[in-house]
Amino acid sequence: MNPRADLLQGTLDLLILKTLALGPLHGWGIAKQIENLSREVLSIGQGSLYPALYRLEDRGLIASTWGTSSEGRRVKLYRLTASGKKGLAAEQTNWRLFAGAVEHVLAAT
Amino acid sequence: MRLILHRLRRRLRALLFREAVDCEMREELRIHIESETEYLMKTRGVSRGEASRLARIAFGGVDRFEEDIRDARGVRPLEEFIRDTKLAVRTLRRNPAFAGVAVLTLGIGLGAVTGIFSIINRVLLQPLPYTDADRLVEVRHRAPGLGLNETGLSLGTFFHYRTHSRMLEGLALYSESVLNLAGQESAERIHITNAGPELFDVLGVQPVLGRLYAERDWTGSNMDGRWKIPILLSYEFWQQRFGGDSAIIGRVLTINDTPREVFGVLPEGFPFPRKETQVWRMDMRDEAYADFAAFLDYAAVGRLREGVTTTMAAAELDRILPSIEGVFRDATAERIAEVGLKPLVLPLKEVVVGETGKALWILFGGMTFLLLVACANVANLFLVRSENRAREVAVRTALGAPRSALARLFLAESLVVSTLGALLGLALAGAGLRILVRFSPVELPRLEEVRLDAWAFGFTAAIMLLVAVTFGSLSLLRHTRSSTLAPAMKGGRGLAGADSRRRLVLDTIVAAQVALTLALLVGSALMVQSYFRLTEVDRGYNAHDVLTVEVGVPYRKAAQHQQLYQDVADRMQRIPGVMAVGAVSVLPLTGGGEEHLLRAADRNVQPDRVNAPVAFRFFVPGYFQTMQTEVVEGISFAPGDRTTLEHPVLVSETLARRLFSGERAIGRQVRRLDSEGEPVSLFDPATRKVVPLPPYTIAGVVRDVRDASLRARGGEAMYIPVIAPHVERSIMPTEMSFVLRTDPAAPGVAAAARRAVSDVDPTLSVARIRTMEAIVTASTATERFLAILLLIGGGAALLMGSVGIYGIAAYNVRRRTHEIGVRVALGAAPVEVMRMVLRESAVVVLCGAFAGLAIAVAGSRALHAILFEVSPTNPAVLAGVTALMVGIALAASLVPAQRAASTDPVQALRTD
Repeated sequence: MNPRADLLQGTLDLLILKTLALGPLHGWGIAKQIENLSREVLSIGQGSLYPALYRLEDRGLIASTWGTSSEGRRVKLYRLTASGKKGLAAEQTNWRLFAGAVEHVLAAT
Repeated sequence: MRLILHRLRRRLRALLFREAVDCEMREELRIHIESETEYLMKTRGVSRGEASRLARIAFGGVDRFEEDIRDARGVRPLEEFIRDTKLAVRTLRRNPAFAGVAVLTLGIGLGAVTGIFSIINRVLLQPLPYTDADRLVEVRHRAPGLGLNETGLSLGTFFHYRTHSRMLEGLALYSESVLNLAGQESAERIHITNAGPELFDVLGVQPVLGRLYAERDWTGSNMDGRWKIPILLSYEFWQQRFGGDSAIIGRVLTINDTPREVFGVLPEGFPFPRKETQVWRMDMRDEAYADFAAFLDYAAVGRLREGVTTTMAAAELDRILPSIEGVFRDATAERIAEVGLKPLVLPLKEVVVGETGKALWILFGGMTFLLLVACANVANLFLVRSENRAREVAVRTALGAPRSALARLFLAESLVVSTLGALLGLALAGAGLRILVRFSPVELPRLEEVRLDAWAFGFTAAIMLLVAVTFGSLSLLRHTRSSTLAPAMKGGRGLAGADSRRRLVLDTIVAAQVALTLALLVGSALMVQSYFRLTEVDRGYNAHDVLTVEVGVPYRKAAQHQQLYQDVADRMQRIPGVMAVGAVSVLPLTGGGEEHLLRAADRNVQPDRVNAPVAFRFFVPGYFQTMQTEVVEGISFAPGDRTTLEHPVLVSETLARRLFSGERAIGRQVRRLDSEGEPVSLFDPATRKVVPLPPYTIAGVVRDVRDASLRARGGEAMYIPVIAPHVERSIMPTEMSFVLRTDPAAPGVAAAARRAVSDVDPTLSVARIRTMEAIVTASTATERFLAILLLIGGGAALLMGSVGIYGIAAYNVRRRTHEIGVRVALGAAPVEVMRMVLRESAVVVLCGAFAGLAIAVAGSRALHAILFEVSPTNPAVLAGVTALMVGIALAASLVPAQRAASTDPVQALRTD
């Protein structure tokens, strides 16, 4: 078993948005990308990935089209929309604020 | 906003193209697993089969994720709703008797209410088709000094109000007449409204063709015969008579031998003062010749200023009326005090709708009761059904159905039932309305506009939703506490009173049903009784086998009236099958006619009461014999009767009593008075002098006749025979209704009568030909309509009510089979068991009956105005209907009681 952290509620959205900010990806690709970027610490349960994608699409932060993956497979590609970019910036700020605050608490002696 | 649209689009897509969206989703998940498989094969070097297995394990159950994703799509509630509805339809189809009865019952109730609502909405609630129609009012007077409850305006009061009122923005006089329009070969009777240009200002109407007439068009007098009076045509008359020819403007039509010029055409459907009006004729009155109270028979329509109520306007007119003193020649302080005018300001709509409005609201109330009874019935059905479903519910709960799912299922079921009921109701209402508009059994303004419109659909939908939610929660109510499985699985066997709360709900519903049905039955019984009283009332004439023919004489032949009428009567007399002929200026129950003040000539001191106007009727000898109206004493003016009396007249019994206070009337003289109470004088061209009108001599007394309406006791009337040479020309009618007593077997009398008229003189016009019975029937149309519909409603309620009572009683017996079995086993006689069941029903029914009587008595005040010679609290009606209701209710519970009595204890105790 890899030492994997449970995803904090709400951070999944942030991670998806950040991943898509690097370029359009399909569902599996997003999961793998997050795993890679987090150095295998974060593993996305598929059960939460797809509902999250639908929610984000519903909120207009991401959009999807059917396209071809780098492996030449017909896949549903997700990309960041304009409001998704704004959303990402806001979420990022929030996260840093939160993480910093937690760090402060833990640093207490 | 864009986001909302975006979401809406997505949800709609998810809902409408569910298959496609689901397919897409599964495809995406498949790709995911495939990608993972290949990834595993590459990175771990395992076989494809092993990689695929690992990928699937990592993914977990596909189905669960599909559900989660569907949740995220946000259409889950709707999808579930559709699924619940499908389930509800399935369960209802398994129980067609329940579904059928519930839908039928609801459909009848909803249909009745929706139908009446559609009429009320169109006739009473929708504004009249004028600009700002809610500010239009009719101005009238009460004249207690003349014994008149309601009368119109005089010219004097009109000018006075128009000059001084600040609350009225405009006021216009109008009067109506029916005149001859000369055609190529024969004349035609047309409906005319006489009014000044201000009428169209007040109503706010513009012509579709030509222009309105204006004050400047009132240039000359028509004495020289060259000036043509301006007229406007109704759109319908223009279309029918002139084929919609736009060259009509400027054309001259000859109406009553006077040329009139067409100025314009009014918009289609313009219905003032009634939709039959074909021509509006310019009519201007001169204030210099106005009087205070000589003729109070002008109708007036006014427009209130913004924000002014009818009460405020009436108060203002009342305030400014006294200052009329001295303005007009007869406006003396004494005369004003004597007449005692009281201005009335009524909303125009109220006037247009009249008494029918009350009838419609009563009907609406009645049908609401019917709907409530229907709802109570369906509520019972749902409750009983939910009892019987205890097991099913328990199983569903045990298998993990949350309460919300049960609630949704019940709601879906009641929604399906009430939707079907609403659809059936709309269909019934639509059919009923079409029949109503087609046969128009009752004189209703704007009836032809009535149809099922968006309002009706909205109304039905609103009631339907209310009903659905109520029933759904009733079903759920039963299962709020059934969280434990045990008692339900045991079959709900319990002793009486084990669940008294539920019993109470059922009993209350039954009692309410009895109460509402009883109240509705009382209402319809009263209306039916009232209607029969009305038709059986002694009218003072025999309407059977009497044909009436309206005949008009051109004004220029006024000098020959008497001869023409006599000739027509003589010709008609010769038609085979005609037994008697006469004629009268105004037939009973048709309204209108002249009214004048009268005084006994030999009495200078008047009775303490101020004179009230008396109806003047002209008749061609033979009239009373044809109508079989008894002439109590004196000359009866049969055809050919001669008299030597000067200006002979007949008077009604009531009038004779008033004028001569019980003394003998024959041979006495009466004078016609003008508005100042002075005998009328006339200019005599022979002597070139103004001479008083000679008095009338009373030649006979006639029985009272119900003339104004069947409801009103015979009034005061004076009958003037049209015999040479003593008829005063100024009040001689240009129209007579001939009455023919015919042999019912004789064919073609109507056609022969029409020929007889044109044989005498082709310029005579024939208007309506009707039987006298049709006139009598038409006069009671509203009462008949109301009685029939209420009776149907009452019958339907009674049927539903008894079915409901039977159902509940049967259910109670079934539920207590076990208990009854124990009783029988312990030695209770069948009669005792039966009595017990009946007693329980009787308590509920009697409670309902008392409540119903209370509702009936409280509600009967609404009926009071429309009932005829029947007291709303008539003990016979109340007792009879109560007995009927209680009897039927008990009869309905008799069958279940018998079943209970014949319970076999062994069988019962074995019953689950």
